[in-house]
Amino acid sequence: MKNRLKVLRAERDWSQADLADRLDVSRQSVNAIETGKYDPSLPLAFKIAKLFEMPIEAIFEG
Amino acid sequence: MSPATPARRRGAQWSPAMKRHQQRVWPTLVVYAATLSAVMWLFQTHPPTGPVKYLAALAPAAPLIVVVWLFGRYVYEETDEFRRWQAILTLLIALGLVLSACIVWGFLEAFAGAPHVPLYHVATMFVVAQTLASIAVALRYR
Repeated sequence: MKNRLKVLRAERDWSQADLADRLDVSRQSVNAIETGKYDPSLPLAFKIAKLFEMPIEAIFEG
Repeated sequence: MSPATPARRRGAQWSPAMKRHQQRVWPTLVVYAATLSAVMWLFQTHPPTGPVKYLAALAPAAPLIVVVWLFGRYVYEETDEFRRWQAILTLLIALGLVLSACIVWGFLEAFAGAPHVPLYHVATMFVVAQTLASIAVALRYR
């Protein structure tokens, strides 16, 4: 699944570790999601959307 | 049985669940080694009879079964969903490899005269399979 996580993170000048801390997940999780190798669960996707104050569909696309 | 937590990448930080898993598995493996040594010594020097024979024969299996249960407990306790997914994937691949190997060898034994392999060797096979699966999963998600 494609997503804009890397762009959104870069816009805020956050490292993967920064984002991982904010989401309470491992840095490996952030990396796997950003590279499209892992699709987050719906609860985690909601958490990401809430953090960036955007709707889920604005971050993830099928 | 391997104490390695599935798919932990080299240099990656261990989660609290991974640390707990390690702290539980290593002592259990020490118990397994001690139990196996004691049982081997018992059967070589003073072969037991009756119900004691069965209890002694089953004793080394108990800590290995605990290790299997600990893998399940790790998956249950891991709060990072990606790490949990990696652990489940690693275990599934390892189980698939062991199951396939057992099926193949079983037919070779039945029809091609291959030598019999005692079933307790599946524990060793699982260690090898889990190591291979961990490498495959780590490469997939590096």
